[in-house]
Amino acid sequence: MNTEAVLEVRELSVSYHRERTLENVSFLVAPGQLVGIIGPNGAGKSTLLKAILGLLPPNQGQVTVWQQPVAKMRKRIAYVPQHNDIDTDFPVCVWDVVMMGRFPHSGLFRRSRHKNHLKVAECLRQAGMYAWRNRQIGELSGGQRQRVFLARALAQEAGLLLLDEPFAGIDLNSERIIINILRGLKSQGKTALIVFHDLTKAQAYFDSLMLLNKKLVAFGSSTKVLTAQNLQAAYEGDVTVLSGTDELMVVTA
Amino acid sequence: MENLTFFWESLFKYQYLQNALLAGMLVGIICGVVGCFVILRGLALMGDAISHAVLPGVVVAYLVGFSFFIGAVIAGVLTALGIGYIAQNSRIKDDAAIGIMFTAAFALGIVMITLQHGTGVDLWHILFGNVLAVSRDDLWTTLGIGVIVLACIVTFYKHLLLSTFDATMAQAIGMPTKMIHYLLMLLLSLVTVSALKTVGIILVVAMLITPGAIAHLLTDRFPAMLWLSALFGMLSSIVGVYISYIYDVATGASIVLVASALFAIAFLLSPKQGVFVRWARAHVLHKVKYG
Repeated sequence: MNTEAVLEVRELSVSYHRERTLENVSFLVAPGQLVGIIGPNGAGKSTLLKAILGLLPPNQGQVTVWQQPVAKMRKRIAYVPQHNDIDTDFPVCVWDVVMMGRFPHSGLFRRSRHKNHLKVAECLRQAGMYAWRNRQIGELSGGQRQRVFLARALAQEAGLLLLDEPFAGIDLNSERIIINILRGLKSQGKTALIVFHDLTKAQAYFDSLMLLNKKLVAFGSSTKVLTAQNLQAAYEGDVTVLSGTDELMVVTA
Repeated sequence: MENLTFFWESLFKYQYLQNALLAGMLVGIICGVVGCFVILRGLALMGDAISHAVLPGVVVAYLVGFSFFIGAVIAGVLTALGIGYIAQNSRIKDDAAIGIMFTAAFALGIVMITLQHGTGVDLWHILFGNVLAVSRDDLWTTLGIGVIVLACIVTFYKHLLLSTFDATMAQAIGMPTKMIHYLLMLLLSLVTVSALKTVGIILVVAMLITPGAIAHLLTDRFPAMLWLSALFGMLSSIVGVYISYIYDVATGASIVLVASALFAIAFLLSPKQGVFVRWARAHVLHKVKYG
């Protein structure tokens, strides 16, 4: 057992709809890191996040967060869902959604209303969404909605954040705001795992990368992970290496 | 106008009319509030199923002589569990499992009633309500159910809201989402019993869904939706009882038709969502822009 690690996954295997989606995955994540999870469609990236959260029962293996089982650490983990998991017609406005991030902290009778209010306002400002606080969530663009859900995760004041494709289909401005927030979290010593698909930016955005295709293909610094050999292993036939030693690659997945 | 005065005077003269009106209003409020969760969770069919499935429970309770509510809750929750079990342990999908289980329970109830020729259970009254037979006792039990249901919703408001909006996050922060689902099924069974005399088993689903749907078209805030839904449920009952009294037609069905008419108005004229309003806005804007 590693006493430094925020997250320790050991020999984790998960089946989903009777199909093995993760096989024998083990890794350690140190505090203060932004970890990008990359891999082809169906590689088990979302499954990995859900398994870490304890939402999918593992066939075998173990997940510990700060050396504790996840069930004891739920209040310190925040999750940002994939954007199409959300009913955008739901009668909630931006403010209400971010307030949900305070639910784990507000007991029934605690006098925490004022503090919650301040925290929600602060998180909305960080995400650049304060001016939109009274809008129904269906009235926002995809990028704005993603920032609202990130603001909700911030409001949870968690030490470990799991984000499922936060950059999928959003505008450049939102992308910049989100990556700045993530870097801010990192500077506070917090850790985030981010499912990601844009290999060209992976190196610039993250401290370490995890290349996944049911099995853990590679994990570590981007130079170590983004090699022709690893990518070919992960994306199977869908990688073309254009110039041998300088490693210019095209992934067509 | 004449009719209104006549209704008003009768209301003071006849206690059964007072009881009918009060029971209708209470049922409108309770169904309206619970219905908001039902429609936002996409459980309209489930609501229909549970309301039908309480029938055998009610019949057994009547024959053996214990409370309707216990019988209904047991039948309702067992059906909900059965539906969940079938859907999770076979390739049968949710809606098919719902269809199988609730028709089975409903048919069982009908067979049980028809076995007991000439005993006091009147199938017609259970199915379609008998609002003129609402006693003071019935009124008190309806009020009791209302208090229980509303207390549950206030107590578990955050759980219900978050698990409805984002079940994954609810689970991730450790909320017992399955328990919340079955709590809602239990509330549905209770609500059905409370509506037994006013609208009856067959039409109670309208009181669960229509007022909530009207409210959903009118507001973007969840608490406002709950209030509006209760308001429209209550309003439908008042107008429905009135129409039923004046024109001597079935009460439950009048209440439901009033709710449906209100829905039609909201569907066309809601300021933000109304089909007519949106069409008119696009049309007028087009004229302003292009002459």
